[in-house]
Amino acid sequence: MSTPSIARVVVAFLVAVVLTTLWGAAVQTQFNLSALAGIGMEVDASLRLGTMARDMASGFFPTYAGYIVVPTLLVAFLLAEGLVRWINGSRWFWYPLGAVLGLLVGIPLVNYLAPVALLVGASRDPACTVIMAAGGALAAALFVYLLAPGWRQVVAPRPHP
Amino acid sequence: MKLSSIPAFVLFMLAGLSGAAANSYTVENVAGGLEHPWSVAFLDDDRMLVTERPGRLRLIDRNGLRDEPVAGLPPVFSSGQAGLFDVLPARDFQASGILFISFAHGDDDANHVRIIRARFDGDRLHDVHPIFTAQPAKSGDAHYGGRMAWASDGSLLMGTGDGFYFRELPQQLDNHHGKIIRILDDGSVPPDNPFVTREGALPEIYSYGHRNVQAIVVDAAGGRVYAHEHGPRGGDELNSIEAGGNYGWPLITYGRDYSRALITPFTEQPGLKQPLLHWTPSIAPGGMALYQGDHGPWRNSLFVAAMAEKSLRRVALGADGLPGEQEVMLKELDQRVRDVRSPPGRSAVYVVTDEASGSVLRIRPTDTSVAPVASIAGGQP
Repeated sequence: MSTPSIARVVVAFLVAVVLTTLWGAAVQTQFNLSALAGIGMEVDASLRLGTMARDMASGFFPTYAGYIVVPTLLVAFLLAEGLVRWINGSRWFWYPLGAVLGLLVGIPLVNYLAPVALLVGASRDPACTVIMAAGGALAAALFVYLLAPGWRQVVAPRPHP
Repeated sequence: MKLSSIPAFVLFMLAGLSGAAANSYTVENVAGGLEHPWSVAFLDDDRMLVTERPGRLRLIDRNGLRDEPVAGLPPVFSSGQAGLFDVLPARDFQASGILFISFAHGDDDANHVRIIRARFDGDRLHDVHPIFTAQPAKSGDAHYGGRMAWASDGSLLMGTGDGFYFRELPQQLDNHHGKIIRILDDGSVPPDNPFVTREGALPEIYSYGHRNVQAIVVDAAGGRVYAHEHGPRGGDELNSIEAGGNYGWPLITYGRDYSRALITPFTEQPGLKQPLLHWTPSIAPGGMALYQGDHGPWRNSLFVAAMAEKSLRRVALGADGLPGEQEVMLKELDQRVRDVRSPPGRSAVYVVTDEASGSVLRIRPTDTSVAPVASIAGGQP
């Protein structure tokens, strides 16, 4: 039985973290701008794109990745792999589900534990949290895809004696 | 002096002595053992009142801090940043005994910042009744403002907060959140308030677009009303308040979300007031006082309590009333400073420290020849 190398797992995990974080940055930017548009600010497409790019390149990336995405995906993927092995299910199902549910818990949990009233201000709106969490599904699917060749044999049915 | 307060007294005296050589001031303990004191008010030469955020009003007189809190205070919603805030004697307090007290009223699901008017007989409050309650009720326990000041014309100013979760409300005039309100001492609305004739606007609003106003100082001689407010991550602002002014939150800010995301892409926009200065990174300003004593180097200065920075800042004002150099004081104490007051005719300023066992401290100048020590970071747009 072969398994993906640790290096490949680490790279795939980092890719998943980056994708989840960029998705979250983009989503919270749009919620913030929509709130400002609601109180009279003119928000056009170029402002949306420019602000999104600034958020992606700003300190939001390490904050969201470090406090929320990395620990959440780490726990979610470990639990997903355990379920795959325990009940022989599909990684395409358990990993994305774990990532989404993990972020739905992780974002409010870190908001609650943070010494400030709310770490991610845009997540005042529950819809923002849900859509930010949805990015975890895409990232988890990419994680599974990147490691799929090595994993095919991990989940192969064991021959009966 | 109580036995339990001796260690604190020694600590502060040592801090004051060690600070004297480098900082040209001494620190003396006036009263200790106060639970998160929020505000201090001088009633006369011998007495001062201190609010404790959990909901107690304490009297300090010639004998020190009275053990029993002042009776007669209504129930206070105490949670997080909510609690008992400011106490402000009436301008004719010596004759009337009237106090104005601000606090959080309600519960976690529905609460407001409220001002009550009451008569203090030296022991307890009488004739207590509310004269202002911010509308509408909000949930949560953050961002109330609550600091009050007398305007030059005898009207009462108070800053409010945006409730944190409702940061768009300061730009809307149909609510009291994120505003400075102006009322008369019976709670009625001055007829010359800027929005009294605007349909849909609450008539108490004096200025808007504030995040969480923490202090208001009226410089009658200079003709300015100063107010400062907490920014989010950076962007604490010192503003010069004008009737009807929009101070921009959250459309413009020099701060960022706690996650470091942009709250807005803009730091300035047409029609929105710029701060006189902003503190980035945040110092989390508390109370503020215009120095009214006789110590030369401190004249024409604003003193700003700072909680996150754990300091007292002296902001020198120019002849035009604009802020200049800043001096950072009290860093050696390593305590959150919540309020600062400068009683007329005294060279000392008084601060309260926002600690579980907080204190009232007297800061006396010792050197009349010292100019501002350093120019400190903090942008002036």
